[in-house]
Amino acid sequence: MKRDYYAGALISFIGVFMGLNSLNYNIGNLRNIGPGMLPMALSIILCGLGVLIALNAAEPTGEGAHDHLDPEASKYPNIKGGIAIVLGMLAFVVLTQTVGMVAGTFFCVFIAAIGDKDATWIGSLVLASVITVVGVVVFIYGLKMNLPLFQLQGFSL
Amino acid sequence: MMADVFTNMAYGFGVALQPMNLLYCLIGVLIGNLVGVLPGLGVLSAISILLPLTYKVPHVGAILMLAGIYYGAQYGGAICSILLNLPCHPPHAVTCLDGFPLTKQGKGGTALGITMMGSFFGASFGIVQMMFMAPLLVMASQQFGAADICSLMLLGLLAGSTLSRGSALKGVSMTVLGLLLATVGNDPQTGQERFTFGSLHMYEGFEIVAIALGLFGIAEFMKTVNRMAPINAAYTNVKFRDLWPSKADFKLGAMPAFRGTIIGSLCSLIPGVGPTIASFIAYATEKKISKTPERFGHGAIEGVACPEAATHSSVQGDFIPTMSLGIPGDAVMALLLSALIIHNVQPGPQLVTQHPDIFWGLIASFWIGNIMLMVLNMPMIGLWVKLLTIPYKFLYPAALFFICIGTYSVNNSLFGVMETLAIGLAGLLFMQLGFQPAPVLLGFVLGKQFEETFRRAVTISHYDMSVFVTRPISALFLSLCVVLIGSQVYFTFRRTKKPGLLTAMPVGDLE
Repeated sequence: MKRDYYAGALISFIGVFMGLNSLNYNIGNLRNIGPGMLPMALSIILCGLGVLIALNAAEPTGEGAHDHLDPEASKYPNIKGGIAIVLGMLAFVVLTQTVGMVAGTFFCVFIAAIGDKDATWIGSLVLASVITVVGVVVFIYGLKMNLPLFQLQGFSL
Repeated sequence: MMADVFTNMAYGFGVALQPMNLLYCLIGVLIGNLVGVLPGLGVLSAISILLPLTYKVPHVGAILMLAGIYYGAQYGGAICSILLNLPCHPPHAVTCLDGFPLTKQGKGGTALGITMMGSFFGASFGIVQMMFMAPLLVMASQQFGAADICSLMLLGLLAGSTLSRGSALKGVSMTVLGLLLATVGNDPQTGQERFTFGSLHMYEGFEIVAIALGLFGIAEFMKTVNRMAPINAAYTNVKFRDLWPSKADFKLGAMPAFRGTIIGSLCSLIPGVGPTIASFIAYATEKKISKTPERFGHGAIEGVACPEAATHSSVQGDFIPTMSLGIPGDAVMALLLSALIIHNVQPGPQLVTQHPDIFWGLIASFWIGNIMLMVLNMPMIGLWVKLLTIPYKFLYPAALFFICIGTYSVNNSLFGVMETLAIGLAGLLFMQLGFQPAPVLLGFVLGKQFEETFRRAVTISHYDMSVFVTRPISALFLSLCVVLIGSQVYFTFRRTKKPGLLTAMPVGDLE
């Protein structure tokens, strides 16, 4: 029950947020549809849907049914693994920008890999190395992508 | 009319049999089969990752490859379900019910063999259906005006969001969210920047690849990491000769496969009803009409043959509305549609005449691809089965890198990677709250077109809004929308708390 309240609240919140922002753009009228018309209409619909979702709150039925997740695992995403993935992606962005793709790739894979509960240092190192080699061969040499392998540069987005 | 189809098919084969196109098709089905076999990796992610890489590839080859991933994954997915009892992809969830018991009885190979044959039959039927129906649809759509197309898009959007799994309300809100996300960026008609909050990067709006990879890659990884079902590799010793079914088994499986095929192709004609629902309906129907329903769930060959045939014919049929009308039925088709747009190919009824090489070449490649898949899967079954046992802990970091580099390659921009991450985190939040991410993609891809078509319709009708209900075709589509919404409301009020077949459907990244 509670979950659907949050769900509905989130949807309505997005609707309100986008709707308020749409006011900045000329909504116009039917003769002259302005850029704000469609976003505003959609935002209003979202608000309404959010309320309906909360009103229609029901127990989540059968959603844990047969998929590739372990039925005995926790109902919430794993924090350690999640953080590893996020940090891995950040590593790719920051390191590739500053020291080049080789470091970016290696640490992206390595950091993400060690987040797994069955990970080993050696396994993750090997995986990161292999993927880095594959990545460089396929993307830089094979597809001629424009990414510096090694460099020294400041960071900006 | 018949002769036309055959001339066109001959032309199509001419296109598809060119060496480069053959190669792209092969790569596509190979990757598709691989994605199907590996648990935890989705079709949508695979297509999204390869999407930017196809920018430099000629457009026929690109479409052949991306499409190959889609129907190729259906073959691989069956292997995973039957041998490991793990539905790597939602359409194969129901195959586990009888597939795994068969494996435990030592008949896993037979189950796989019957499945392959049923799949090929189903796919062939779907292809034939496309050969004849798509041109018919195109002819019918010649009568469509802007208002009609707009209403049809609305119907497609509604169908895609309400008929898929989970709460219809949540599905619709995801579609609307997708439509809203499409408005971010530069409004093509007025030049007004919308929702960019002053950021230069957001001028072009969200990147389709970032949304797809964020929702179906990052969010999926974060959901699955350290929660993957343990793989029971006890039954993975299958060899080629195990695949041939006995005469008795073949007899048992033939008619169910045929029935499943029919159900699948019927389902594919309805936008929003995809392979997953088709497989469920086929299974339920087969069980109902069986003289021995108690055998289902304990290793009935029929329970394996019919849903797989339904899945395959539905998958091939899925292409029909997309290729002939430009209306995608689900997230995968939406992605393929955006691939077309990126290659400067305008999807819609004019695709057949403007780009017959894509249209007929694609259909021809379906035949070629399915044959390739049969050849790949049957003799090399041992290899695919071995791949099944690769631990997830190796797969997701590697895939994460591919996502990073794939997103980067779109605009040579690392901001895109951050965008993907942000979308991924948001997607995870939505999934935890019970929303399905697929309709977002549908709404996003159709968003710009919808707005433009709507404006055009209103302009053409001289600002008369009633055109949407006075034009008969448009009125028809709109009334179907009303029927759709009405039936959802009706069923909600009627609903008892007893979970039916539809509520027991698996959560996954497709549909």
